Amino acid sequence: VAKVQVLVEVIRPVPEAFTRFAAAGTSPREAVTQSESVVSKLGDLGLEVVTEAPPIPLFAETERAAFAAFASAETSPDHRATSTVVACEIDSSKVNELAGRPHVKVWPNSRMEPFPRKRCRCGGQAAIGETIHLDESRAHPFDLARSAATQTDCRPFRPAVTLDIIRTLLAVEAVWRDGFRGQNIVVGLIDEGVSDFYPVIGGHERPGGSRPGTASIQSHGSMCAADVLVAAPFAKLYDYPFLAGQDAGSSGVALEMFQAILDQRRVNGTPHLTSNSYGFYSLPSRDEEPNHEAYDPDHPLNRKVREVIASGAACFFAAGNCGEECPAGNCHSSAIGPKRSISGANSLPETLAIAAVNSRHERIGYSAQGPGTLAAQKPDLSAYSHFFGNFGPGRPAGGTEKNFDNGTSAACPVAAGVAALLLSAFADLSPDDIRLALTETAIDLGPPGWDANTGAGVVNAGAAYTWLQRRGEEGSEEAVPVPRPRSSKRPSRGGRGTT
Amino acid sequence: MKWLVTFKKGIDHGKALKLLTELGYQVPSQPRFIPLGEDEETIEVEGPARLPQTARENENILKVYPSSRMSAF
Repeated sequence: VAKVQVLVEVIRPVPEAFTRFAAAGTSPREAVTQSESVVSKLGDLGLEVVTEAPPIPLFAETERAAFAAFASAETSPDHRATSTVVACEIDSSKVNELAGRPHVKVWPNSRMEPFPRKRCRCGGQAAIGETIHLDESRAHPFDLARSAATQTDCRPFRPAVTLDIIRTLLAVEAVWRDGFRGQNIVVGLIDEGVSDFYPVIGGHERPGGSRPGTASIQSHGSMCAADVLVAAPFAKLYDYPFLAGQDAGSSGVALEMFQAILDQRRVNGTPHLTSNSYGFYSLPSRDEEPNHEAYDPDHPLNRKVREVIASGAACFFAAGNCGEECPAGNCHSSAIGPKRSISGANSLPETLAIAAVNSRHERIGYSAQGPGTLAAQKPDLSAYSHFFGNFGPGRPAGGTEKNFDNGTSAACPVAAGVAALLLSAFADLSPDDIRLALTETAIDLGPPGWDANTGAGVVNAGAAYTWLQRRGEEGSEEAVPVPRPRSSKRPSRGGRGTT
Repeated sequence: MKWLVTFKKGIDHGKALKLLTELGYQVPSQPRFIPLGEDEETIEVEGPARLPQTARENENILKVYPSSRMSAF
């Protein structure tokens, strides 16, 4: 008598079905034991279990409704199955008798196969099972940038890419198409100073310091300016040159710059956000200097940064360049790797620390790693670096293909530019709104969820824009795209707004 | 070495600068006290490493923090 393969469904409640399934999945013996237990009362029909795979639980409609909770990143409670399915073999003459037994359903166990290639009418595309070999020179940037990327880009680094590729990866076109390009938004750059090649309309000049808008096009600040404009080409800039001139780079000067930002925000609500691409390459020990800003959240600079954020201006910080795989040459061992490389205001819970990835979504090996010294869950996000923005052939600062915008210094203003772009469309976004929109829509790399190398993933302007639109449609009026109004809270046209 | 010294808000700035000078610290030629929250203000000064210890003994000084040097990433 011919034997047939069937799926036997036995309708009987099974508590903690997920736990049982997991146990059977780790042990073929346990799987067979469970399967034989399910069909034990049907043995008189000559039923044989034909697989070492675990029996499969099925759930009632009412249980399935609770599965919506599985979308959470947290582990959900176990559930009770209403029936269990086991793959069996039985004489074909006894199938009807089996199907007639109480609490039993019999289903065909069909065999599926790959579609043969000769049936494929793919028009030149690869058939199922064929390896796809991309012509990298012709491939779309999204084909080369994978979300599962686990590689690290270390020296010698991959070649830099064009600005257009970065804009494609950021999906800025989706926002630009609706008319938003960062207009009416001012980004504060606390850096080395910015060239007047870029749209500097104000900032702060301190005694013994540089005047806003007077730095060289080769300056680090000019690179950051170019990188804000990647996503938000119509944004304007305030220049706070704290890494240049007398006492360059000291906490005291940074403190003065952030106070100038707070003063300006009190006057007219600008700058709308800040970008900060600096930090520490070495650290004292916590025992030696417990009040250092790397360790003390109440250090005056950390407090002042929090005051600026409380005033409604998001503060983006570069994560740092002392990642453990290929740290920058000037990194001291005290500041390399997890727990050390993201420190000071860059690691405050309120700021956004930005790690660096290349255009293929590979983490750049110098990009600093969490946990931070002040908050464990750092970096917050990643953004692109290693592209021709300010530097490179045909770019404002010129150079060969070996010169390109680099460091987490470049990634930070790219992310800040994305935030500026969103603010030009959604005028009332708070720093928390910006954080939420960017993290909810980031392209997650590596293991699911936040990780210490790339944070929540790579910022994506198009996805964040759509997410905010949908949030608006779901009832939050504040998230409906509305261009920033020409209110009194705008920089004056009469002067440069320099303090 | 540079330090950020915090005072209670409203202190006479001339008095604060005089105190710091008496403690042996150089104050800036154009001193600027920066407000911190509603209750404090701070100023950057330069001087030897013993400032946190000496300041602890002075009732007018709230706290002393190191002023570090940062670099571009």
